[in-house]
Amino acid sequence: MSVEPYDEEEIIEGDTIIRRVPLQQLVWDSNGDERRQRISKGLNSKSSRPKDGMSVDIEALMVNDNVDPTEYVTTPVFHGAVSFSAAEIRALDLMVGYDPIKDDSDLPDNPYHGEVWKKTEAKRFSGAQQKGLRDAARWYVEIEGVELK
Amino acid sequence: MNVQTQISTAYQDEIPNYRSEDDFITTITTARPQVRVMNPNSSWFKELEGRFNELTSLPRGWDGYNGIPVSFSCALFAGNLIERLCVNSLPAPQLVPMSDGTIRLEWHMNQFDIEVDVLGIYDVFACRTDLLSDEEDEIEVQMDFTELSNWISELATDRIGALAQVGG
Repeated sequence: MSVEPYDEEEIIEGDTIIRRVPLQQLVWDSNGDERRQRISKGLNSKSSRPKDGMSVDIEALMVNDNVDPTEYVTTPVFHGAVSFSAAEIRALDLMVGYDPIKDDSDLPDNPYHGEVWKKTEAKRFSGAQQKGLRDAARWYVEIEGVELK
Repeated sequence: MNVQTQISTAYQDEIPNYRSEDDFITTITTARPQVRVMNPNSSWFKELEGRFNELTSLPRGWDGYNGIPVSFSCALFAGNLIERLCVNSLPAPQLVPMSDGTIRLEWHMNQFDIEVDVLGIYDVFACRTDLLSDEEDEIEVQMDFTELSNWISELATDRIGALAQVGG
């Protein structure tokens, strides 16, 4: 995206940061007693270009606009979403800021779009950061029969 | 403008889906790195071919944000990697698209989680978690895939049975 990575002061520690869950990023896990479907750790990945981050939706912006976040993040076809608090993201040495999607001919506008960035340029979040995001994630819109991790 | 038939298959060059009217002569494009799956024969490849084609045809924004389809170069390299790693006694990896057009291969079995990120041609990052020992290994792979190959071989070993034998 076009925004330089930064940490947005308006996003306070308790704010909810939402990450949509596409069905393409669900996997089957045969470890454990029963084969089960869960979210791939890949959901919590940044884009591999050094300054790019991980796309999210900022709940507080939707609430301010009287938009129902649950409906917004599942429209038109997205089935589920997880969330973290801004504090949980920052505790992993990551930053979160606004990066609205606007006037892209292929995509609908999303004024509530944000990004989670690393503080240093890198192709990927570290293993600890991916694991930390996975451990912090809770269902925002649950997909029936799918586990978080 | 002569519209060409749009083909969606991972195992071809990336080609434009149109040709200008005055383009009567076949254009030879400049040389660039190309990865081809040579004589794909493995059971994994056969099983995953349709999935590759699906993932390289994803619409822009497939992830709810600005996700792009899996790039042909990543798909081609992943296809070659799968040919190289295939162990017939193991199930094929699960293919997970990433928002930036890269692709991940995943196995979750035999008390191992193995995740292999194909970020580009000869640009691979792999992570293995051993759920029995709680050890985690990470490797960056560029030219030498021996260690990754060893991980896949170990995935095929009967670890629980071996542990039970040791335990008596």
